[in-house]
Amino acid sequence: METGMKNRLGQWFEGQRYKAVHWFWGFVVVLAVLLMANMFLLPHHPHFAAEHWPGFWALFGFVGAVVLAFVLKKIVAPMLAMEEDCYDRD
Amino acid sequence: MTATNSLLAHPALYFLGASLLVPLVPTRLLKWLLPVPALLAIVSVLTMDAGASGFADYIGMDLTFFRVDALSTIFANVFAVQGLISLIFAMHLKDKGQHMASLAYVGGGFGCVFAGDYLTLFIFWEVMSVASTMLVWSNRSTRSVKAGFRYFLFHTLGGLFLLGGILLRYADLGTMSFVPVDPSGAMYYDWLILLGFCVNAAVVPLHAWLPDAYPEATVTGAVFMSAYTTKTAVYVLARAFAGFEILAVAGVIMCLYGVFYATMENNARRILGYHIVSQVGYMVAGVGIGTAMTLNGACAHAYAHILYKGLLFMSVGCLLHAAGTAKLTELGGLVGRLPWVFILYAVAGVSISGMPFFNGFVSKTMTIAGAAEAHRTWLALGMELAAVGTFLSVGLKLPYFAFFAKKEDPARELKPIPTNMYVAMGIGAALCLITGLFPSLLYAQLPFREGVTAYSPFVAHVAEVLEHPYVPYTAWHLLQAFLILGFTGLGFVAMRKILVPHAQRNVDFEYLYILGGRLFLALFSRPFAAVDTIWSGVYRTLGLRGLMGSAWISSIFDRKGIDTVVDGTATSVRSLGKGATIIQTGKLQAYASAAILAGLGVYALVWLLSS
Repeated sequence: METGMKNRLGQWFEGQRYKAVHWFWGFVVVLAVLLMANMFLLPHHPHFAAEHWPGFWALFGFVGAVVLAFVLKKIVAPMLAMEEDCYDRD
Repeated sequence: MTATNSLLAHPALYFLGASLLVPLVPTRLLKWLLPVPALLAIVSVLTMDAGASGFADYIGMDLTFFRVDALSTIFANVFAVQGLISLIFAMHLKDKGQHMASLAYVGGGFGCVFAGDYLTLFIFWEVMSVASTMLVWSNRSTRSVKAGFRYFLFHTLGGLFLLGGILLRYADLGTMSFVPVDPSGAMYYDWLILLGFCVNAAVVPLHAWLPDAYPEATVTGAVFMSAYTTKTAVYVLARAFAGFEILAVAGVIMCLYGVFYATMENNARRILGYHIVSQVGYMVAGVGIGTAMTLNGACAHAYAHILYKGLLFMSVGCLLHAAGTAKLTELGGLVGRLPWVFILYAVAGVSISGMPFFNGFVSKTMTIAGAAEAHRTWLALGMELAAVGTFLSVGLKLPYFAFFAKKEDPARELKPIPTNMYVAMGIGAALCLITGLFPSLLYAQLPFREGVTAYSPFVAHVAEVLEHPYVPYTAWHLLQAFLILGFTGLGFVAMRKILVPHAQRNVDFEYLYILGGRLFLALFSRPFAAVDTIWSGVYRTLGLRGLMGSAWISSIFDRKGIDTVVDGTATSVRSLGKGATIIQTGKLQAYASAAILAGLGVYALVWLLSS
């Protein structure tokens, strides 16, 4: 199913590789806008005190992702590693 | 309450009937007839009225085949819809055996959801177990035979817990009725039944069969399996065990455990398998917390999850079908060649991550908000952290390393993807978006809503939910979701070099299952072998004396008496060995289907003779 439209779409995606920097800075602007909004918009009924700090959920997401990635890939994964086909042998 | 639903409207009938008819239908016609049972099921689910029907008396036990209420209807609804999508996805297949297995499997799911008593539930439960094992074996590789064998053994174990609990409960209470259990008065047999359910719900540490076997199933088989086994288990947990504290904690552990393994995993289908554990964790936690809001959240999440998880398995299945591998280390830059697969995957990826406007957002946030409102702050925070990990591993890592990370080798041969696969994925993606944009479509089916009698007296805060239904689209909910997801994305950008997948398998509880199996074999085969040696020795001596005496009677005695009694042991041990050989060559599927057929035959015979 290599139709013309599909190829054009694929080429467009391929082209975006070379614009990664633009995409990144666009993304950073969006994040900044979200943080600004968080200065003014806070939950009416916070379920715990920290939810009332502006930027709490941003910090939660960023630190959560960084810590998960580091601890799991650098510390836990080497401890659990087996060969990928370990159960294929008799 | 009795209803007018005829047994002919029972969706299990369509699927099990279709499964039996498959061998008789010519292959060319089969393709177009395949979605028919799902279409019939959708019509049936939309038109059935609440109440129970399909009663039978089986050796003094009251059976109910067709209990319809708000809880069973929401599961039946999504089972029918996903049945249609999966069958369209499988239309191009010419392997009739696989079609039979998947139809029987879906039929088993419907049978469980509408079962009003434990015996009916158990029978359909086992039909699902056998049929899904066939879907693993249909891949016809040594690896899938082994994984399928482990899968089947573990489900048999779970089924035995369930059966034991059911029988002990019957002995104590004298009833088979499948009704809610009081969390403060659960008996030992209730715990056994709960254990059996937890095996199928993939509750950690009983979960390892799932990420072990699902990646070895066929491309289409995994799509079916992602929907029915675990969600049927969520349904039965919600039915009987709402408010069990242990499930609240176990659910959050599942959420996090699944995400942890998915972050490390290399095989894309195993990543998705671990995410079933994680997402089902939200549902199990919702059931365990046991307020009307968290149970609504669990059911809504089951509905949304079946749709987006099916779409995830379909799009990753397309990669496997086209490129011949689902390992991220062997994929890399496919976006230019399979852009639509990427887009469809992305829809499912943001849905599972709870991105606003997609269906995961309207269901996951309901469960988490329900946990927070029940003052279970730590459980709610655990689920939020799992949401971060979900977006990190399945929303960003998987698509980045499959579609973008490397330059694609243009010489790689890609098998063309059949149109029906794209159609099925298109329907799935459209439904993920529609239920996300118009959550009232989903909320109108929830078990705790205006005008519906609560199915369980042990669910707390029903009146509050009717008074203040959950509203997903508020300014704060949107901002909170975008903040969490956006900054998780920033974390991914920072850590993408560390997240590069490695070609390794991460040891999980399946290793303990295998060790346990070896121990069991050693304990039983050694004494067996020893007994066999002694018996053979005895037989040799006796047999020799018989020959030397050459008396006719002793010869008869030897042949008919000793041979049958003494050598019979050896023969049975030998046939046991032969049985094991059959199992090892993968012919267990013949044995398993024969066992199910024989079981159903005995069941029918007893019924006929006793009525």
